[in-house]
Amino acid sequence: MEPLRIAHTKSTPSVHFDPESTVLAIGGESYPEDSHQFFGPVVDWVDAFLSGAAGRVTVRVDLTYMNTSSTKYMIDILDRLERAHLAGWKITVEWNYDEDNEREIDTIEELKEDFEMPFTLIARDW
Amino acid sequence: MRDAPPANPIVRWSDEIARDPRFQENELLPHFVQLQREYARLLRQLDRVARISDGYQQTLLERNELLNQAAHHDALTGLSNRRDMVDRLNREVHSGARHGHAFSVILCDIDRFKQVNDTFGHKAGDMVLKEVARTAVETIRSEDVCGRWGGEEFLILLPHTEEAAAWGVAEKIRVAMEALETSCDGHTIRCTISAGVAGYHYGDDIDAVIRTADTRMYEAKQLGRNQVGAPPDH
Repeated sequence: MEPLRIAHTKSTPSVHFDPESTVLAIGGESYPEDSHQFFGPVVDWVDAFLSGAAGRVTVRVDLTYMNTSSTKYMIDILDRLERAHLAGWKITVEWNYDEDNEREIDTIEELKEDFEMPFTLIARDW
Repeated sequence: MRDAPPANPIVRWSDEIARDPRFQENELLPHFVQLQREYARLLRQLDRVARISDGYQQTLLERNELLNQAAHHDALTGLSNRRDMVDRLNREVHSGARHGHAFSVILCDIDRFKQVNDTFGHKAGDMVLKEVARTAVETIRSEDVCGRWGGEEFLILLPHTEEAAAWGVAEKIRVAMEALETSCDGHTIRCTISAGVAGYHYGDDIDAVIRTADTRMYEAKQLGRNQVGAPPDH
């Protein structure tokens, strides 16, 4: 399976999903004009990847800003990973946050509540 | 955990269907229950998306507020900056044009400020600027606005105030500064200010009024500093 590489732009995050290293990394700011156009291929790639044999995956998220539709797509992707986790994949989510932003911590705490897969918060090292 | 969102009528309705004795043997029931669960999951997801989005929006609002604050205020003293004072002056000119009232400005400059910096260092200079700003704000009336106009120059806008009354305010500021002592690294620094007052009346050119205040402040410096230029019987 081909890795998925998308360079970041002002309004879209960088995506680097590598089936070899089994690291799925997404980072930057996300407020695409057309989030379906941006996230559609990302979600498709994740679906195709998770349809293979169960394995180990580290998901690294470092998003400093997400608009509403990006949030929706990120939760869609996490839901897919959660289903895979419950089906035997070894999935770890590493979510970067800004230590100074309490609201961001609350947001992530809330986000992880609904998931059984391991969810680690990592303070952003500026 | 947060409170659950209010019960959704579709959830209640589908619960009634799922519990209805007539449908218990229906072969579609398990699929229906599966769909119910999926629906409930989507509802939770929607709720989460909305709350997370609220969080980001709140952060944006706060950052906007900070930027706005930075755009209109002087970082050292916290006073309005020159740009904000120009906006305020223009607003005052326009409201004066509509309502026909006058206002005045005071331009103050700390006397021999360069000497403070040269003798005690820039840290001391900054402390003096902060103290002078604080003292000016404490001395003016609540509707007056004090801004940092330049390096050691402060502009005070006095709405609904004639020149003679503004001169009285300037004199109070001058006296307060005379009494002000700034402590820094074991030194006690005393400063005076020179000021110039000018009144604006309907139809005046605001730049000319500021120039008048500036000229009068300059005259006060020439006359030996620590004084307020123009009125009383101007």
